[in-house]
Amino acid sequence: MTRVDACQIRVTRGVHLLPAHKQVMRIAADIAVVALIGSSAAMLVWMLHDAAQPLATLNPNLDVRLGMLPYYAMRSITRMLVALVYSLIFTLIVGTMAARCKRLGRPILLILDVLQSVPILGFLSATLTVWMALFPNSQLGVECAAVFAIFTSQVWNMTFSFHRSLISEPAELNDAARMFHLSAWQRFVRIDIPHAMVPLLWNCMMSVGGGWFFLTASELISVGNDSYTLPGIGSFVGVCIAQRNMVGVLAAIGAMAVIVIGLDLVLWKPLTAWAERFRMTATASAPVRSSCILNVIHQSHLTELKQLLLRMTDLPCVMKLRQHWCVSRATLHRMLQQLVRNCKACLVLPHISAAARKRIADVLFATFAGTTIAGVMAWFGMAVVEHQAFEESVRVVELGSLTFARVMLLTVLCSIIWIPVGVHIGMSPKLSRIAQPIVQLMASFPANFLFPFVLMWFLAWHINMGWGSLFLMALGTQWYILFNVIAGASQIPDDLREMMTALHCSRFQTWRKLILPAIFGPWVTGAFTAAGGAWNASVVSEAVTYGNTTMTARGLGAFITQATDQGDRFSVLLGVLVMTMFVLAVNQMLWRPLERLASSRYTLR
Amino acid sequence: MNFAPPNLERVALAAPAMSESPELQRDALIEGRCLSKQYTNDRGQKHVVCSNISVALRKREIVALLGHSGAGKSTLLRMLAGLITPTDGQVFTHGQPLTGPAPDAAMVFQSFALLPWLTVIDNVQIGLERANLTRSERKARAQSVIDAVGLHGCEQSFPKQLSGGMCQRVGLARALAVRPQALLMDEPFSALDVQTAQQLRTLVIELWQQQREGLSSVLIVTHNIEEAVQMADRILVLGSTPGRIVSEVAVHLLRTGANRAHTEEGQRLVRRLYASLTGALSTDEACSIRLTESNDEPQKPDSEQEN
Repeated sequence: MTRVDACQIRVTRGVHLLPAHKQVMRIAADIAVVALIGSSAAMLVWMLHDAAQPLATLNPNLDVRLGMLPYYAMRSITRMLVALVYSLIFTLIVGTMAARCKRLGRPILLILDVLQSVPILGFLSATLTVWMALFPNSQLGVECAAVFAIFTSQVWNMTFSFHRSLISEPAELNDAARMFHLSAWQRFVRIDIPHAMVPLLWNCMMSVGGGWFFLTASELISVGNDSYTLPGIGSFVGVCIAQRNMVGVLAAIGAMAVIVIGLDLVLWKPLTAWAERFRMTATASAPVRSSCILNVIHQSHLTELKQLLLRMTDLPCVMKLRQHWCVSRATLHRMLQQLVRNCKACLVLPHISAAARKRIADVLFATFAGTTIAGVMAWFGMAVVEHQAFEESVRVVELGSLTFARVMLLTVLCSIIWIPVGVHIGMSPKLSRIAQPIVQLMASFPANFLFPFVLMWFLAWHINMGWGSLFLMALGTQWYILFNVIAGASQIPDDLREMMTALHCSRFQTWRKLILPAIFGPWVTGAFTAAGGAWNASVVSEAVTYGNTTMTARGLGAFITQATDQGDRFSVLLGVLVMTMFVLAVNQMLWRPLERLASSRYTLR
Repeated sequence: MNFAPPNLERVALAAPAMSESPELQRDALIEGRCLSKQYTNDRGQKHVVCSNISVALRKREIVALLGHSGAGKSTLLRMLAGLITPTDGQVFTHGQPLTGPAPDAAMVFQSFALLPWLTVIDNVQIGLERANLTRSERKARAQSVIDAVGLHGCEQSFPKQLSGGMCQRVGLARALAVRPQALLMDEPFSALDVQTAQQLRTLVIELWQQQREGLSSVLIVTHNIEEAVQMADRILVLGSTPGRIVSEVAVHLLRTGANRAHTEEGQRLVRRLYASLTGALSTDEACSIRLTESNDEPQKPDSEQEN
């Protein structure tokens, strides 16, 4: 009953007039909110204006004065956010289709899986000409190509996460939605999106972090003879590295740190704090997320504004419009039904039972899909024959297995190092409160900005690039493992740990019987993401340049990079295809079974 | 699950005999005729959840579906609600075959099924969004049902801040808000503590007696015998594997303010229902079918006594 009292108190408090100093605070908050929105809008307009300049004005030699860094940073952030918006739109549409259309679901997931494994350079070389043709003589073509490249590095895990949320909606919620006759749109807005909000937001953060890693590759576009340098912090680093400008690289690293922390403060902190309301269950152990910016927004008159707008829908003219809309929608629906009925009547179909119809559709669909796959394979086989590239194909597969070995070794080594650390951090709430945001920031920092320094270290110590590239890949992807292990370890219930202590279990036994099984699920998720990231990162990490020093490891990533530089489209295609095959095979044969095992045996619920 | 095949056949043979009564019950709000539901699992094994069940929910009555967990009670309720389509048989509302969720019915769920991100009043309004009402009309209607279930003052709180009993009150208000003729309740009080559940039972009976929001009939699924005796005018006892109606018991006890299940006659009825339930469980299939046949006999004297 005390709970009821509490909420009553809150209701009455809202009615009281606030004292004067609170009113002043609220007005100050209003000004802050307006300033925030206004400056964001102004920045967007400015950046879009600059992006739409004619192509001829695009300077191939980027101005690397340090004073230009803030401007470049803004350009890069805008690109990143525009790509994020497109990623969100794609996610909402495709994720819903995959979850709601029975027959389309599996093929869509398969296609997403394939696309996810294609490295970013593959997308760039395949689509650059299309973008350039869409916006002739404008920088927008190049900008679009860059945004698209960033988009392809962000979107897939978001879509997968949204799809997973949609199919894991509680059954009773689903029943309630149908019982109360929610329309498809209401259901989407009221149930689907809120239910998916928290995981989707976390994946957005991870995606943006992943996107920074490929920023240089997206902004310094060189495909064969075409090379473009877009103003941005990624290209700034790229150019500084080519010019052996150590100060520039250091300044860019500093700017990048500011960007990562700033975005976290201005964008992610408020969003995650706001999204807390969308959690299905309130767990006491979860730390309370707060954000000063969100508090300011709550202080302002935004809620009153929203109420006012909502009250506008009661105006007679709006009601009339709505009635018209309802009537016309009903009429349209009736007409469509009539049309379908007429069509059915016209086509004198033999009477087939629903089950048989389903089977026929299945067969037709399977035939279609099979033909498509066979067609692509045949076309590619012809291309191999035409280029007389049998030996090269074999060599590429060999390179692929080298990179595969590297990725696997990386996953194992990172797990060995980070599981004990992660468990230690996760099991102590005090430590994880400090460490988790740091790890999260580390994960979003683009590791390739540090490559020049690591490269010099390799040169000085004569470290073989075969091992070195492994280290470079790990620099970016290890955080996924650590992050997930921390999250998993912090979710081990206290009573289970107390039980282990009460039964006088040894440390070894506790690890074997409780901790390792309990973090298995999160570890699989983390290791899967890390391995996937490592495959993509191999393109950047196996051939590293500083000035005119280039270190190359034998591997598929280096092969694709070199082929792109030389503009050898066939080789790029071959490399991308082999990499896709490898990733798909490993996903299907290793990670999916592990995920299934984790969800069937090792869930803490 | 392995069923003895001969028993299954016997159940299947019984089906046509029951489906021969052609005219629908006149005063039935929802009527299910010869409903069967079977699922096929990944290995291709068939699992019969409900077998040849005919149920009618008439106007102005409370019916309880009583059975063990796994007896297919919830499946039956969802078939009657139009949420799942039966493998065999058909559901009718007002004499029309039902396709899709029933229009004049609302449901109350065991786990409440509230949207945690909406306030109480927004949760209650969710079923009204399709109706062509202005915001103020919607709000007024939601407010009136919120008052009716005793949640006044909690309109702006979130479900997380409420206790289980409060949450189920919200679920009840949400169902009443759409002005349903039939209220379908899926084990609505089994997640609550004894005292709260008792309060809510009394509340539902009161709302039904007052015909609040045009509420005509209630169909409640439960495994609690006393709950069934307290609330229902008719009790359908479901036997498990496969789910089928073992017996139907009319309750002719007076509705006074007190709990009917605690009167002497009520206790006798509880004992008899308990015997019927456990009998159906402890013996094998053949025995339970015999029990179905012999169950009509002792029912008469009992109900006479209760009169």
